Amino acid sequence: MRKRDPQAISRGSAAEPARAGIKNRLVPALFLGVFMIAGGSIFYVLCARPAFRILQARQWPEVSCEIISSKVAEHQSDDGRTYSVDIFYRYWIDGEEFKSTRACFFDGYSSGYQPKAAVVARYPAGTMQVCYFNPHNPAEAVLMRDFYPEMFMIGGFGLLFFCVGFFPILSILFGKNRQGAAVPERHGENFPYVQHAGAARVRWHAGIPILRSDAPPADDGVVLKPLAPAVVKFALVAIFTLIWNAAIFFGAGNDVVRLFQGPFTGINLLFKIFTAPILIFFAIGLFLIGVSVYLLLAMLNPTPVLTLNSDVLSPGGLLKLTWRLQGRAERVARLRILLEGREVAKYRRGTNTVTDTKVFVRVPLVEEQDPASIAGGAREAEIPELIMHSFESAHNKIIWALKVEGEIRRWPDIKEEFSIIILPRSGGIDRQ
Amino acid sequence: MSDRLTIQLEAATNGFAPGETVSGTLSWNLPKPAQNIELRLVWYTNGKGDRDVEIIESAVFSIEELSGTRPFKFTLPPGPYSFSGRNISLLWALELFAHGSPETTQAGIVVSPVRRELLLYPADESA
Repeated sequence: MRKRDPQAISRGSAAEPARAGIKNRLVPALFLGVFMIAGGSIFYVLCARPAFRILQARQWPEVSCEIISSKVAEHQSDDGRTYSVDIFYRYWIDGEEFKSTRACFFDGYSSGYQPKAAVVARYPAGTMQVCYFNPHNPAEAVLMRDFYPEMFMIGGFGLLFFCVGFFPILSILFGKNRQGAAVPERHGENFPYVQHAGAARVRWHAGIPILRSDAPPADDGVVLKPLAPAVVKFALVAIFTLIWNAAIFFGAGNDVVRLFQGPFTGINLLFKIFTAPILIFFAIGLFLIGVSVYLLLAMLNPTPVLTLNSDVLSPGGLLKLTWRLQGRAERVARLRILLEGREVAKYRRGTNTVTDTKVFVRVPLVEEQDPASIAGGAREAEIPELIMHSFESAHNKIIWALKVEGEIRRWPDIKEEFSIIILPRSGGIDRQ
Repeated sequence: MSDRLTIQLEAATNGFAPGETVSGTLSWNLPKPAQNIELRLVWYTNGKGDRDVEIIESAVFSIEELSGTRPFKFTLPPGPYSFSGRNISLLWALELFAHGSPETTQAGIVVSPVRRELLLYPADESA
């Protein structure tokens, strides 16, 4: 790990003024642009535009109409058989006859037969129904002006794709975090998932935290904020689970049903063999549901509240910790609080950015099984004089955090983390 | 690495504590005239993560002769310390190069309170 580079390190390096060519950024930007355009198009065509038109149509007056024909149309494509509602109706405005084929604003074909058959059953041929017409253009009418859950599910899926492309493109084109740009001095800028511990009391310069001269005092201690509160973890996973499962259900639901229908012979067997891998995506969907439920239960756990003498600590100084469990602390059978140091390296592999984390030290501070002590207490520990301080550069980082682990029988455990900053000490230590 | 450019530290060791002064002499012996030479105090990372480099201080010397010497002196900042882990190592160096020439050289130094590289996993070293 400690290889010294025989070439000049700083010459022409990222530390010099940025000279990264536009070419270096254009290729990944174009690649991500495909995601952005595809996702944006899906969102616009299948969600935003229909939603806007439905809102408009809700102001339209109603009129009687006669259903001339009504059936489910079949379409054969490379992706298999798809269906659409094929309804033809007529209506009269001020004695003038108009005809329309628009059933709703959610256009397009899909593989689901049943929903289309239900619409056709609701509007059988030869019956009189109610439709809604555009007062500014009576030739435009619609039978149904309701929102559809599919719109938002597919739209959400499209939006997800859009974000997958859009935000990395912003970062690539305009961010300071790219290769060839100056190393930023602000803590957390390159590792946005890290809470800005001690943000009010330190500034970051050349990779190290420096105590501000105008730092507010922490005489009464500092209540630490968790890195990722339980509700945030649940919300993020639940949204992703919803989008994933909606996409799988609407995209491949029928294929899965067909997997279990029909004989396991001939062409049917071939279809089943080729379609079977879809089940992996369903299994992932089920796993995500399981994780969501786990995190939902974890939200009901007692919440650890940690107070430190300061969230910016010095080597050789004292760490004064008090803890309190808000909520039903008696459910917790065992409580551990650890000081953890870890090294985080971020690197590019192809078009992906990979983050590798390794824990280099775990110091137990609290280990309690007594219910009264679990509910709350205080502990002091000395920070070793010779300890690697917090460090942050564009791609590499030393993080210090307090980890709280609470065991609850037959329930998800408490797992919270609180970031702290350890300053470099000044001067040397004369010892071997 | 070049014989035409050299960095000679004044101290007997290359280990320094934060805040201490790194001084020495740089010398050059170039085949062609160069406008100036530059000495940089830098740290950089090695390991799994993409390399980060920070120029802490730099001194540019105008030179008229093809060879010569100059003294230099840098004061070290409070950190970061030289350290080595499984994902990241942080190293310090003095780098000397001549502008308008490919010649370059460097001298590694160690910056930490004990003037040795800190090992994040001491057991790795003893194993």
